Amino acid sequence: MIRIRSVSSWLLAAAIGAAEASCSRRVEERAAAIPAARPEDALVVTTITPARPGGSIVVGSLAEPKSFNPIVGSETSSTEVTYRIFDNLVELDCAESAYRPGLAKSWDLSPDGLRWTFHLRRGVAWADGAPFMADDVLFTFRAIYDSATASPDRDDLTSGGKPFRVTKADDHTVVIETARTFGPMLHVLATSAEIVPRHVWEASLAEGRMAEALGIDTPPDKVFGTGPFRLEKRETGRTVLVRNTRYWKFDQNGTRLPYFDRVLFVNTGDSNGWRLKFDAGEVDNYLVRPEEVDEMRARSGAGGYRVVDLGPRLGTIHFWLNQNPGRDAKGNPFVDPRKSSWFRDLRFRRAVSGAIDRDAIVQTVYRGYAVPIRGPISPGDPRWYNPEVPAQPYEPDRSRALLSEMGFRDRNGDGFLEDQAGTPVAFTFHTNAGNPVWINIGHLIESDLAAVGVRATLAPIDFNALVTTIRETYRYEGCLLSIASSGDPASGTNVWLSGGASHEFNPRQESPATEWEREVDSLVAASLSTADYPERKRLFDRVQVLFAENLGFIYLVSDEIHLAIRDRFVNLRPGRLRAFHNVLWNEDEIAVREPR
Amino acid sequence: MIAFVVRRLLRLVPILLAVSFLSMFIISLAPGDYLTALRADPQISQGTVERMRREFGLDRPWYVQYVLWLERAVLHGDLGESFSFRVPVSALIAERVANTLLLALTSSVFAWGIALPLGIAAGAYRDTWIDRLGSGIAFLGVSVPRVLLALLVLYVSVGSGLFPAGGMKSAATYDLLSPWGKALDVLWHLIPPAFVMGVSGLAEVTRQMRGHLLDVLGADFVRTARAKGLPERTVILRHAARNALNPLITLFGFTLARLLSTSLIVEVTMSWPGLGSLTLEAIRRQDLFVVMATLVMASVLLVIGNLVADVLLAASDPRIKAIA
Repeated sequence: MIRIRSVSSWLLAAAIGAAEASCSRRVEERAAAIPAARPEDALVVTTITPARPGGSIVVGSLAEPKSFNPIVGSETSSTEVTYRIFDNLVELDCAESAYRPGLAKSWDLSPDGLRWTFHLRRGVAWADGAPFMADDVLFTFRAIYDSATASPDRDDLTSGGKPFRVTKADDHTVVIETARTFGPMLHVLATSAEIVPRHVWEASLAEGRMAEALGIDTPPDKVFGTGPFRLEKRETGRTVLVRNTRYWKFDQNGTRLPYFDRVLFVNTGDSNGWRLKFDAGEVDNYLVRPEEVDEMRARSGAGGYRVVDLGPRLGTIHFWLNQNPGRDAKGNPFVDPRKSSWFRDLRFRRAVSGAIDRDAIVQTVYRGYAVPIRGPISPGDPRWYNPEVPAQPYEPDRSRALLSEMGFRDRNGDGFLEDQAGTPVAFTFHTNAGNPVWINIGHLIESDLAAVGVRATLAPIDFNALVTTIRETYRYEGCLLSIASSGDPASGTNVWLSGGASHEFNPRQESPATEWEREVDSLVAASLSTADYPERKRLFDRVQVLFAENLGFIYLVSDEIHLAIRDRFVNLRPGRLRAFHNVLWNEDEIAVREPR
Repeated sequence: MIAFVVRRLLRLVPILLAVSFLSMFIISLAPGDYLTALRADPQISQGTVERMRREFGLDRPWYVQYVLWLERAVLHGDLGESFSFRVPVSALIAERVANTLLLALTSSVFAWGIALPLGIAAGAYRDTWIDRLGSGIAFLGVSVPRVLLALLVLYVSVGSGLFPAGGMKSAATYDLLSPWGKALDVLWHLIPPAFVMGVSGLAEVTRQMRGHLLDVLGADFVRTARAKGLPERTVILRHAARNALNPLITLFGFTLARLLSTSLIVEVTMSWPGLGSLTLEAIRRQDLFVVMATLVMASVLLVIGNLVADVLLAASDPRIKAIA
């Protein structure tokens, strides 16, 4: 009897479920037919030329998206997709390098600098029609801070090692309190903390499975945010986004953005495949390699595309000598004490830096499409670059003089220097064996140093082994690597601070080993306790000078970014502050010139 | 026969155990792990990396990880979760395996369909133009590296505009096509990679077929058949070729086993959305359980390939059946 009842109730439930499903589908269809209401706080974009909606764009990508979860996704193949689906409280205008209102229409900071109040846009809806509220913001922060999520965004969203305290004053006002004054607040809100819908993912967080939520196996109709597009379809090699008909941005004619009906991502495998697909007209954008710039520029008119020069990359390529004075578990020093004393001598580092011909690296390795750099922040970063940093001139004669001042001579006539005890002035340095460009730079450094009598030997090793060496075992002499920048020096504190794990030439110091490192520590601490941009800029200008003068890292070059994009698009506003698709960062505003 | 198959399948168990154990051991010898790349990122703190390491179970020694993996695999049929995708490995593989099989099957049909007649013709008309043509194709096919051939085919495809620049579907238009249009679109994309993958197999099979046929043609029973006055066509096709086929069946078993590794290069170069690119990326990033699953799958294919070859051999040659 009991069994029968349970079966019949199950049938009943199934019937209701089916009715509900068909009902909701009908509602959904009707909702799609009638344009969604214009939100009270809709944003009217005035910086673009109004265009007609329609058409699509095919974006090339070097890998598959790994997840549609903006909280756990950290690699560009995933974030370039989630960036178009989810919105932030604050938006970063990559062309103007300015922070603009996003889901928050405005914000204020309390006089003590600890309390940020964000006023959310009213009337904004999730792509499924549910209203966007303060609770969604609170939920997102809870999900990021949840230890089971292990979100890489978490570190950006802490101040003084503590998570922010995020509360709501009402349904449209969010208050974020920080333990200390937090300068990069707008930057981190614009680049981390994409807001996800609470009503869809609350159960996942409660089960401790937020990291698995929004995986690539999620039904496409559940992958949406408040952003310009939502997921329509995903299969291996191809991801299709479709317009979000409830997006909150409009153009001056009152047309709801985005203009594109669809954005398609195609996995092209590698750069060669991407180039072929671009030439064949199958994808609309291409990241041009330095050796291709001239050739593609020459053919751009006939090919119906243009090559956009975005200037130097935000990151830098640099070289350092291991100054770590520590010893391993067996009591052996990480670096031969004799060599360690050279590496810690500023004269030696100056000699090495002055012997390297950066212009030759630019010309030989990058065909001229890179710039020599002076300090830790690339000239490609208009907000933070300090043009007053002293240049790193190529002066091999001065290098020879410095080395001889240290007492190094060629004592056995082999063309290389030896120190007072007859030890050859030689060291080995590593780089990532998987990066042919860095290997080429390494070989140029080898020959530049040989010209002043220093025998430097390049030993490329596997990337994981390299990271283990520089981060765990510390048993190496020199290393050549690049470092990326997120666009705000505050996220590089691990590099600046003497106690930082990424202060590679002498990491995790208990107290600063040198005076200049002590000064950097206090400058960075001061910069973290103010939210005033001119003051932070002044402090980091000094940090850049100190790093450049003391050559903990010997800065080499930043390569320039070139992108090819088809002529048929309008409203392109190229900017380089996003690590990916720098031409397409404002895809919600881009349109096809002549919609078919 | 059934007992034979069951016995062979039972033998899979120790093989799989050994393969998976050795794989895990060898992977553990490689420097670093999946999280090493994250550690190099100055924006991610050590604390976060440690948290992820615990979450992934990478903080345990490799043999403990192996036992836990084995337990889940045997008791729940769960091959683990991919670190980078955060979804079950089986789902990742299920999604791609059909694409790889489609490519492998098409290229095999292409290779064997041409190679067998060509090899027989080359053997039967030894030292004539057809033999030299067959040898020429075979030497080219064996000696041109597959990566080079794949790139060459891609450039020719794009240059001539006859075929697409890799991939499996037309990105922008596929969804708008009719079912027949979709099938044609996939076929159009399939031809270049299937050709590249088929060429080396074709070369190998042609050479083998020719060689074995020539061996057999010198045998007593062929002389007898000819002496009986049978037409040359019957002598070659019914008697000689049938007997020359045995070693090729073994070869067929091996090709099945090698499917995964052969398709890897072609799939990656021509961006075919199969298991190849998944495997390569997983190895590069030390996405442990994806690597384990692919290795286990490759060994299953090897055993099954050999089994199929043996069963086919028994079917074509009564002498082998008697022994088994």
